[in-house]
Amino acid sequence: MAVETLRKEVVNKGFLVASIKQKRGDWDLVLMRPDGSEQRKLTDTPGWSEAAPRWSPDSRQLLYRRIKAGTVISHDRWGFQGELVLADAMAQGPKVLGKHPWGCWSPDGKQISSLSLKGIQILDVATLKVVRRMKRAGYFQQLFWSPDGKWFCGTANVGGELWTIVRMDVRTGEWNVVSRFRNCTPDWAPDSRNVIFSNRPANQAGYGWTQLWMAPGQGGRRRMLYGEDGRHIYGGSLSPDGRYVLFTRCPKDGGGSERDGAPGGLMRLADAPIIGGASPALKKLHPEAHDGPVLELPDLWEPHWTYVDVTAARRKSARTDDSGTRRVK
Amino acid sequence: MTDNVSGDSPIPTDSGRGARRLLLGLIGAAIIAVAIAASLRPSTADLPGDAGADLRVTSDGRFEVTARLVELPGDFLPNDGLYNYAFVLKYEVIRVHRGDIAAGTIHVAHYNPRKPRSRVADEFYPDLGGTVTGFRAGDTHRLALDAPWDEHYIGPLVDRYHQLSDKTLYWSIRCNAAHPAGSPQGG
Repeated sequence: MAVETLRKEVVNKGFLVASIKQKRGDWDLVLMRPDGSEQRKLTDTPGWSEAAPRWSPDSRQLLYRRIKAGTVISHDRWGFQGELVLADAMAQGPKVLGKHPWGCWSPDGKQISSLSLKGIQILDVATLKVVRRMKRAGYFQQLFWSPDGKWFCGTANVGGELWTIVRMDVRTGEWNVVSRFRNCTPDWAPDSRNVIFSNRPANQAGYGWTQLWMAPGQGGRRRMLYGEDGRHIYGGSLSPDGRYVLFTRCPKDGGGSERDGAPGGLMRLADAPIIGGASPALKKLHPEAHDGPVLELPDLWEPHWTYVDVTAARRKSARTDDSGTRRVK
Repeated sequence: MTDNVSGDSPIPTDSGRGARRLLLGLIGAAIIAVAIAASLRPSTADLPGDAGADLRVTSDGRFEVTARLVELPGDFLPNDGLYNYAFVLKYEVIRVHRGDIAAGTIHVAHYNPRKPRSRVADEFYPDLGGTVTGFRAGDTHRLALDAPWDEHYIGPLVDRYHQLSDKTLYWSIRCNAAHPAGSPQGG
């Protein structure tokens, strides 16, 4: 009942796009309603896998990576694999931009940040020229630009502590620790004040399970959003208004990209923390946690959410022979 | 008649003999100490100049040294194919073959150190390799290196020497076993 209420609450709130593994072995981009219904393929390319899609802030364009089919996609190094592709919001008119590792939208959609051995680079989308270079400090993967344009977050080496979530001031390059010890795959909340990330705390038996956490960008008290003994939680992201949380629940470590994806989940941020499954050990640690509701989504990887009706934009652009789609040189 | 106290007497006195024995003893002890130290630390004389040399180690990277692995600072992290990392190891340089490296201690980051060097190259770091099959304190390696490390590697780094902020950290490209003469050292 509570799950059905949640489903009705979100079903018409725009669309999700995610990578879904095909039986033939590659990954395609699939559009769906936030409850997983009305699925339709945006790409259908047996020779390529399309991965990690992100709509531009105005939801008129889509960035994703194109990786040769047959390549095992790394759940934490995917940003170094393949090439960055720019297309319209429905993945039509794709234009390969080049490698540009960890390419990520600027708030106005006119620039892209990239993280590589050369450091952090900011590129102009129209010309693909580098307009700014910064030292990468300890960042080594998963660099994302905050919606207000002021910050980067990413996974970094800090001192002797690897897998640390770090926030960097885009203007000055100064940085601070958001969360230490076994963290990865951070992403920004829409308010640019909080960071959502995966974390495998030490207070577990053996290898432990990766959970979804959130912390203020300036550091400080972090809190668990979702955990489930027996599942590794990755792919955390928030809805455009920050009210809902998306994630994946993988029985093996990794986000499922190395295999066939993992069951997706959707919950209200206000319901956090939620503990899924029996999870007796975790419930002891978080006695205040709820047991739901969580809306189950199909097996997928790295979902992204827009409240914009991107299908309407597609219908409009079809009438105008795609002339509304912005192209890069 | 006076006592013979001349210093040039051909016959040593008892006290003179004692001092000489003491001096000889000290010299002997010093020689033994040096010999023990030399046996523990391979010198350039122990290693033929081409020990561990091959086409790649003598050409890859900007630096090439033969060096002794001083210690293993803790266990390597698991390498289950899901997570990859580099691990910093401390070496004592025995011989510099190429590049401007001062003799003494250097720190070297090795990628996925649980893997034999012959199988360490992957999609992300295809140029790595070597003949070393495992890392053991005391072993001698011929290393092709580059620096600064973070212009060649972008990933998790386990650095248990991180408090040494002024150290130069090298990136290991090739790592071959370099056997001292007569040593049973493995790969």
